Amino acid sequence: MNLEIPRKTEAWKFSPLGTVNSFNIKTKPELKKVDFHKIKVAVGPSEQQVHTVHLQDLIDSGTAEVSFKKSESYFFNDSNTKRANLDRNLESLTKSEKTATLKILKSPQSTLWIDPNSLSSNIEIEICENSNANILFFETEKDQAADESSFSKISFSIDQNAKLELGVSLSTANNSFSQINISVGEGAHFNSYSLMSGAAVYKRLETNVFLTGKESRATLNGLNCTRAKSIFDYHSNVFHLNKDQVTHQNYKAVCKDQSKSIFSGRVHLTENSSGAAVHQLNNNLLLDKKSSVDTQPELNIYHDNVKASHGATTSSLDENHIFYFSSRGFKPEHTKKILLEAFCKSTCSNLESPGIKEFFKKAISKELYGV
Amino acid sequence: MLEIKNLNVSVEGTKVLKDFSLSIEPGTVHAIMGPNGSGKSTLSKVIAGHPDYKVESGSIEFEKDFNKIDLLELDPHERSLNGIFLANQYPVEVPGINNLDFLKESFNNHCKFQGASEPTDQEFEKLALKNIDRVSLSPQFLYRGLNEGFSGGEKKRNEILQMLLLNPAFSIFDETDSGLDIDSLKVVTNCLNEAKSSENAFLLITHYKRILDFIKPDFIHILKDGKIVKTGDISLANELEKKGYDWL
Repeated sequence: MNLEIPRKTEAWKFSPLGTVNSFNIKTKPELKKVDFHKIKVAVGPSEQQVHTVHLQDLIDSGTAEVSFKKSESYFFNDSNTKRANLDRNLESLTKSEKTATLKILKSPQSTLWIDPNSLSSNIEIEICENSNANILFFETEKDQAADESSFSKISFSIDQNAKLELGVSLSTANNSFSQINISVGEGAHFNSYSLMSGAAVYKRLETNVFLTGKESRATLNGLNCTRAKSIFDYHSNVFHLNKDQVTHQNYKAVCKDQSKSIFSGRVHLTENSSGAAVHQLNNNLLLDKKSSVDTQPELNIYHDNVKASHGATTSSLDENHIFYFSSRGFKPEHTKKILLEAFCKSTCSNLESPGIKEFFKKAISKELYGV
Repeated sequence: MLEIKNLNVSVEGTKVLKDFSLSIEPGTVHAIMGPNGSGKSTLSKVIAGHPDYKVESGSIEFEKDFNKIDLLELDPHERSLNGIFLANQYPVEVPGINNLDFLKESFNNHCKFQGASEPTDQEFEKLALKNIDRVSLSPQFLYRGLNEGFSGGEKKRNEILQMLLLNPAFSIFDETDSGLDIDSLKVVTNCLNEAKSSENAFLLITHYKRILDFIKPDFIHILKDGKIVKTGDISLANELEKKGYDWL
């Protein structure tokens, strides 16, 4: 079995600072069969309550609409015809370079679940003005050779005063490259959480956030749980392109069994970023002596009137914490479990959607305890 | 209740306690004072079982239910379950662990060890709310991370809350008065006076006489260079206030 780690290619280079006004990351991944209509909708915090809805149902309820660039208008009266046409249009993306845009017109009452394995490379989701959407982007297991990687890319546009809470779960045994591009408009808020875990050899997640409108905000929290010689590679780029914008980033990693976590977080405070406030933190926990961490929190500052701080820590479990718990009657092994769980689950604290929060807490428990 | 005999302790190769001996009876309050680096905090950590402190010789016997227990044979969590409590000088902050959950699990550990039934979540919350009021902390502190973002005084009061809930036989207060304003000091010492009984004992470690104005010790010991060099009553603390430690 070939376990060679896929290496970064030219296509994955970061966008240079001067050309950040549009998504210009040149990637030509292989297009896959589009199955975008299989959006799952979570109606409650429990995973069992998730069901699949046809995209058309969201359109019919006035929650969403779909448009196709370079494509004729989309309207049919008969429901079945509409579905068939929608499916045909989506599937035709496999043969062309067209882009489908899903517009979230008003705040859906439930969390939308999207499987990256079901996406083509050119899907955009727009969260329209004043609306509020919760989206969970999660991997499902698929047959994959050990030296094979899957690729997924999704773009979001968050319009004025809208809000997107995005959960990204890359927790299967599949090797994967995922890229998420987000444009955040005036007064809009992007709140994200990423979890990379599972038995894969290599996973890479790249998040590019373009804060375009005044007073827009981005929160990027997340966790890498690496094990069994795996390498999980997290990269983020946040571009402050307007006034009074805020970025908070708190990313953590737990590494065991000779594994490795990579954190590379860049925040670009451009010439137009007056009044920006940025706080960036990366905390890492090493559970054995042969695991390692590469961490690079980075601030590129091109304006004087900004507040920015960043930091990183790497350590093993704190002996003083273990003693404190012991002095209250906790057994050391139990204490270690509690501390580890607390370290991991504290990353979920900024999630507001109960469904997404519960999903990740369960996913973390599954990673730590196998249940 | 607690008998320490000829204890020699080192930390990272440096000898800190030298032939230290002390006997504490139930129903008594002992205070230990001494200059910086004399070994006061080391004594508290050794009794509680901190792994960084190496006991080279000597013994610590703890009497419980008419049985003598060799404390040095027990792990720190076993010492706690047997009734040893340390109110830390610097309580740790642990984000991500709810204070109430921590208190409940600690309480349940002790219930289990004593063969008592564990309270329900509601019963324990009621008990915690009653006791948090005694230490004059807002109930909100129960629902925050363990000591997370607490001020120095709030952390100390949270330690006292734990002592009230666990009701230990022997409690050590390592500089509990440092960082407390005068009102908080009164609240804390009121709790200690209320908790004091003929069946338990306290060891106060302090630099200042002011805490001893609110809780009267039966004995004051002066620790210098790893040994008790003088023992007396409250008048010894008054003398220290005037003369310092140089005359000893």
